Amino acid sequence: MAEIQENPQEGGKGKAKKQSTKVDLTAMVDLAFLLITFFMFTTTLSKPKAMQIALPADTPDNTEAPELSKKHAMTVLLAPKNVVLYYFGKPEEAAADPNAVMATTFDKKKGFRKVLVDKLKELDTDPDRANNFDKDGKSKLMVLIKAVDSSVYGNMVNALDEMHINKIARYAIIDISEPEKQLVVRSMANVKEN
Amino acid sequence: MPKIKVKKGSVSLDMTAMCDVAFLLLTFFVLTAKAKPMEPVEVTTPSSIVDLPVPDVDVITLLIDDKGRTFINMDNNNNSRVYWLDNMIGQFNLKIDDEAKKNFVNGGPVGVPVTLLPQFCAAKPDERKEMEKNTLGIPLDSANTDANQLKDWMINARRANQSAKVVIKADSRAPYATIKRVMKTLQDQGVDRFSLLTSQASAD
Repeated sequence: MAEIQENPQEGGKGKAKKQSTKVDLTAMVDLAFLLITFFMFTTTLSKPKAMQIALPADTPDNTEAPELSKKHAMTVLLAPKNVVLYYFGKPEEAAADPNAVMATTFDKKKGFRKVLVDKLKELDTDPDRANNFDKDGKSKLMVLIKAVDSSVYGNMVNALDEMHINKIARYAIIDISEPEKQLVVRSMANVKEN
Repeated sequence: MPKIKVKKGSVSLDMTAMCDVAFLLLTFFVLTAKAKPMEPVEVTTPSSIVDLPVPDVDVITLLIDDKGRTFINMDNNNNSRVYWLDNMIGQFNLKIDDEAKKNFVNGGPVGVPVTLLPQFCAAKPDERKEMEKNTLGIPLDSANTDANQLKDWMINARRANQSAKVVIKADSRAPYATIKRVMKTLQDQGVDRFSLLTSQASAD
C-alpha cells in the first residue's frame, strides 16, 4: 500500500505503537455549553399571550343601554398620567356631586384593585345580597371603561386585566361622552391639588 | 510501620457523558429555537394575567408603537399575502413588478401610505428600514373615511384569508386616541372580536 512507514524496524516486524484512544473532550464540552447558553437566552420560551375582547356590535338599534341600578353601575374613566377616576351610578348625578368622582391609580396594593375588591365585598355583605349576584354567583356589577384620548393603551389593558383578576364578567369599553370629558378635567384639577 | 500511601487519583475526568448531555441539550434548544420575527418597530406590550395563546398562522397583526404609528402584518399561510397584495394593487391601481411582489410576500409588517407601497415593495432591506423609520404608519384618519387606509388593508387582508383572526400588538405607551381609531375601524367592518397581545404576569 502507499503507506509510508516511519522508523521501519528490522525485519519489518515492528510493533505499531499503541496510541491512546482517549480524546480530551473538555474543550468540546465547553463549546457545547456555551452554545446551549446562547440558545437558551435567545429562544423565546414564553409565547405571547392574548386577551380576548369583544366589542358590542355597532348597530344603530342597540344604542339604548340597559338600565342599571346605581348600586351596580360603575364607570371608570382612564385619565392622563395613569390616573384612574371612577364613580358609581349615572353620569348626571356624578356631574352634580363634586365628591362623586374619586381618583385612584393602578397601584397593585391600594389602587384600583382595592376599589374593586371593596365594591365586591360591599355587594356581598349587602342585606339585599340575592339581588347583587345572579344564579352563577357572578356579581351584577357592570363596569364601563372609558378612556380619554390622552390616556395610553397600557391603562386600558390594566383596567381590563383588573376585570379578569376580580372575575367581573360584565364590563365594556365605551367611548367617552362630552360631559364625562369635562368631569375628567374637573377631577384632574382636584387631583393636582392633592 | 508501613506508611499508608495515598493513592494518587487521576485528574483527567471522562468527559464523554458530559459531552453527550451537552449536545443533547444543544440539539433541543437549536430545534426549539424560533427566529424572532423582524418587526419594524420595537413594541413593549403591557402585561396581563390572561394566558390564552396566540395562534401561529392565520393572524392579522396590527402593530402600534408608542407614537401611535400603525403597521399591519399577515402571515403567508396558503399564500394569503400574495392575494392580499393583489387585492391592494387591484383596488389602488398600483404598478408593482414581480420582483417587488416577491419582496412583499416574503416581508413583514407594512406601515406606509398606499402611494408609497410600490416603492416600499421594491426597496432593498436597508432602504426599507429607512422608510420604516421615517414613516408615520398607515394613515387612519377617522373623520375622513377615504383617508382611512387601514380599512382597505383590513378588508383586503380578510378577503385574502377569511379565517384570519385579528390581533392588536400595541405598545403600552401607545396613545389611546390611536387605539380607539383602530378599534373603530375594526368595529365598522364587523370585527367585534379580537385579541390584545400581552406579556404574561402574575396578579401581584
